[in-house]
Amino acid sequence: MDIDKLNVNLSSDDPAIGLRASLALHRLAERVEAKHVASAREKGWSWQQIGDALGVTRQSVHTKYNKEPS
Amino acid sequence: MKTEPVAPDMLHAWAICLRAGEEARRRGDRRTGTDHLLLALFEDPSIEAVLGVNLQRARQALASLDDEALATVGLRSGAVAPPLAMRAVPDKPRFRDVAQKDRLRMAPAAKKVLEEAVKPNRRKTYVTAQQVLARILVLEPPDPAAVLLRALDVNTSEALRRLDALTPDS
Repeated sequence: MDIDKLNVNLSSDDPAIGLRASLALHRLAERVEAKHVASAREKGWSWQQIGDALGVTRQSVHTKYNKEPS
Repeated sequence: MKTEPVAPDMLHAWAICLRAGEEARRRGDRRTGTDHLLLALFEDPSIEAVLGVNLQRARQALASLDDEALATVGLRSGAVAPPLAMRAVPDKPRFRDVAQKDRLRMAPAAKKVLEEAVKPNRRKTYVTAQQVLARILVLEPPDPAAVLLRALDVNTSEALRRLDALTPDS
């Protein structure tokens, strides 16, 4: 990533763009987390280990991800 | 107690909420917004005709909006993390379906859209997709549904006219 460009863009004063970017980052983070939780489970990680890595309890990560998709 | 039959084009408001919630979850959102509510309405085939776009295009437009926004902070494309899997939503959800602990909360604007859409109905748990769409079409950017409709080049006043033609008594 080009840090100078990032600084320039973060200082953009159009809130419509800035706020949309903030939300898009949240979404991206959530999808990255889901992808890697699935990959950790495939590699045999326990819910405890995943919870530790994410800084949350085993129960909360289990509740969030241990669902059968449709 | 006599129970009245529900008109066939009526959707269960909870089913719309849950479907919108799954659209939000698919994207990685923590709240169900008006944009997700709009996606959930495509369950009713008349919505595609009124807007002139389909669910697939609407989802793609949201993804493009996200990609554009991420580009402004120097990130390229969301391809590194695909959308999440959606779960099935029952047509007639029971209380236990909506009372799930991990259910996403609705954004205030989305809640308001639904509340206003059901207002004229006697049974507040049933609503038509057209009623909800009529409330969404009057929203203005930066509301996410309004931004999405603009990105899809939907002429909102034209869409409202088509909606009126579908529901002459409203």
